[in-house]
Amino acid sequence: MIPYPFEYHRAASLADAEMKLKASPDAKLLAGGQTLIAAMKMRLAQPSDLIDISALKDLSFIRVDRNTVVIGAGTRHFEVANSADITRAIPALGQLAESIGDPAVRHVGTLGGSLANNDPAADYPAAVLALDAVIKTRRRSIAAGEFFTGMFSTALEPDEIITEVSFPVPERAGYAKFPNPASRYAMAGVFVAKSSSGVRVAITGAGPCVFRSPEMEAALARRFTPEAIANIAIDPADLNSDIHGSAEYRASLVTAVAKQAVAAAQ
Amino acid sequence: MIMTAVDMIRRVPKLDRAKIRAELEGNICRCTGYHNIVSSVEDAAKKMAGAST
Repeated sequence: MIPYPFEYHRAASLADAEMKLKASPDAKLLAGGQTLIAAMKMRLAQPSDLIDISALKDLSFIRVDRNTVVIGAGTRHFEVANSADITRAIPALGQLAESIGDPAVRHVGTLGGSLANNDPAADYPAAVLALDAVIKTRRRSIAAGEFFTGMFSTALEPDEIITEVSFPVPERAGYAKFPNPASRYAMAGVFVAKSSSGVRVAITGAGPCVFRSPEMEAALARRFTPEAIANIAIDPADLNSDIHGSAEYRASLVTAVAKQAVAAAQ
Repeated sequence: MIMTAVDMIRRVPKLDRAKIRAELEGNICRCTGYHNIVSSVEDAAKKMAGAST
C-alpha cells in the first residue's frame, strides 16, 4: 500500500531534529520505523514530514554497571538481545528484546521508538514500568510511572526526543507473554521485577496502555512464587476486547502469563 | 531466507530445529511447511561448522 505524500528529512544532530520537529507540527520522528512506516502504508498515520534520526550514532549505546543498565534510545532490539552485559545484569530484558517481532524487525526497531509510540501491545513498556526505569530526554528525566499516559500516548512534548533509558538492576526479574498466533503481538505480556524496594508487576497487551497490578505486587512481596498470584484475577472491565479475544479471556491470560513470568524470573 | 540462514549459522552456536524456526520467522515462503528449509539450515550448519575447524 502507498502512504500519503510526506517530506523526508535526515537530521544532522539531535538539536537539528528538535528544530525540525518544532518547525512542522505534523512531523514525526523516524527511528526504526517498524510501526510508523506500517501505519503510514495502511494510511492510519499521515505525518507531513518524517525526520530521520536513525543515523544519529550517539543515540545507540549500551552501558552497564553494578546498579544500572543504560540503553541509548536508538539502540536496536537485536543489540539489546545480544548484549552479554545486559544478559548478565538483567537477563529478562535481553529475553524481552529477543521476543519482539521477528529478526528483521529486531535489526531495525529501536527502544526509544517503541516507548515513544506506546503501542498497547508493545513489549518494552512492561519492562520500563516494572523495572521503574527513567526515560531521559534532552530537557528532563521522566519516571516510568509518569511516562505512559494512555493508548499511543506518553508524557513527551511534541518536540521532545528520548535520548536514553536507565534501568535499575533488580534482584530478579522475568518476562513472559502470550503472543497472538498470527501477528505475534502480545495478547498479554507480564514483566515482574523484585528489588530491595519491593515487587513491581507491569502488564502490557491486555489493556489500552501498560499498567501495574498492586494486588499481584503485594502477594509477590510476601511470597515470590507463581502460586502466590494464582488466584488473583485482573478486572476485565478495563481490558481490551476484540476479534482476537474478549476482555475476560485476556484477564485470564494475564494471571497465567504472570505466573510464567514469576517462574522464569532470575 | 538465505541471508537469514547464513546469519543464524554464524551467530548462534547451538542451532536446534526450534531455534531455526524462531530465527526464520518473518520470512514468508509459499512452500507452507518450511520443513525442508529447516532441514537445509540444519544440514548447512553442520557442514559449515566442519569447514571452519
